[in-house]
Amino acid sequence: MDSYLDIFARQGANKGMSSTPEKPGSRAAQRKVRTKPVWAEGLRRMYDEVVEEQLPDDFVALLQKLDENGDRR
Amino acid sequence: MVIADKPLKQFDFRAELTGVLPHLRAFARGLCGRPDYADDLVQETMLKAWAARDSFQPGTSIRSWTFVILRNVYLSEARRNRFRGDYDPDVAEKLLSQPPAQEDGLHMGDLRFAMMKLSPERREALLLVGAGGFSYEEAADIARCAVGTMKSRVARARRSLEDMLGGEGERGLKTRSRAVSHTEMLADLDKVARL
Repeated sequence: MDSYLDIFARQGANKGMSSTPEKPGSRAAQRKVRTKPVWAEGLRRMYDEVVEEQLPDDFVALLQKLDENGDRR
Repeated sequence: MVIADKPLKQFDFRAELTGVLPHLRAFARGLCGRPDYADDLVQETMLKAWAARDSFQPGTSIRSWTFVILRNVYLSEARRNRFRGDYDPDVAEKLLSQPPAQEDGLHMGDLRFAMMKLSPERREALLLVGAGGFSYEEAADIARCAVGTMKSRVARARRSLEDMLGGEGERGLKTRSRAVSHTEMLADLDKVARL
C-alpha cells in the first residue's frame, strides 16, 4: 500500500495548476494581490496524485462483484 | 401530462461509479489522512452508492452525489471511533523528517501535517474547494451547510494553513510541537454531523 511518503517521494513534473477559486472582490482577494501560495498548489497536487494512482485490485474486484450481484442497468 | 420516466439511453451506473472512484479515494485520503482507512471508506461508499443507485439522477454530478455518501460514511465511522484518531504520530514523524523535495520549497509532509491539524470541517472545506475544485455552492451542498459558511470555513482554513506553514520566505512548519487532540477532533466531528 502506498503511503504518503511514497507518493510525495515521487513528485513528478508539474501538473496543470488550475487556479484556486477566489472570486475577485472577495476579502482574500482584496487583502493583497499576491502570488498564489505554494500550499494551494500543493493541495491540488496532493489530490491529483491520488486520482492518478492506479486503482487497487480489490476495487476492481469489488466492482465486478457489484455487477454480478446487482441487476445490470 | 407527460412524464419522462425512462432515460432514452440506458444509464451505466457502474461505469459512472468506476470513473469517480479515483476522486473518492483522493477525497477520503484527504479527510482521514490514512491511505488504508481511506480505501476502506471508499469501498463502503461504493456498496452504499450501488445500493442507492436508483436514487441517483442521471445528468447530475455523480462526484457530488458519491462525495455526500463518502462523507456520511466517514462521519459515522469517526463517531464510532473506528479509527483511533486521524493522526498517526509515527507517520507524522517520518513526514517531518523528510527532506524538502519541492522546487517551490513546499514540504509536502508539512502540508499534509498541517491539513490534519485543521478542524475536520475546515479540512473538508479546503479539500472540496481547494483540492477537488468544487465551487463554493457545490461544496456547501456536499457538506450540507450554507454557502456563506463554506466560504468562511475555506477562508479560515487558508489562514490557519498560512499560519502553520509560514509566509513568504519562511519555510517549514511553525507549530510542530502541538499534537492533535483526538478528543477535540471528535467533538468537532460531532458538531459537523449534527448540522
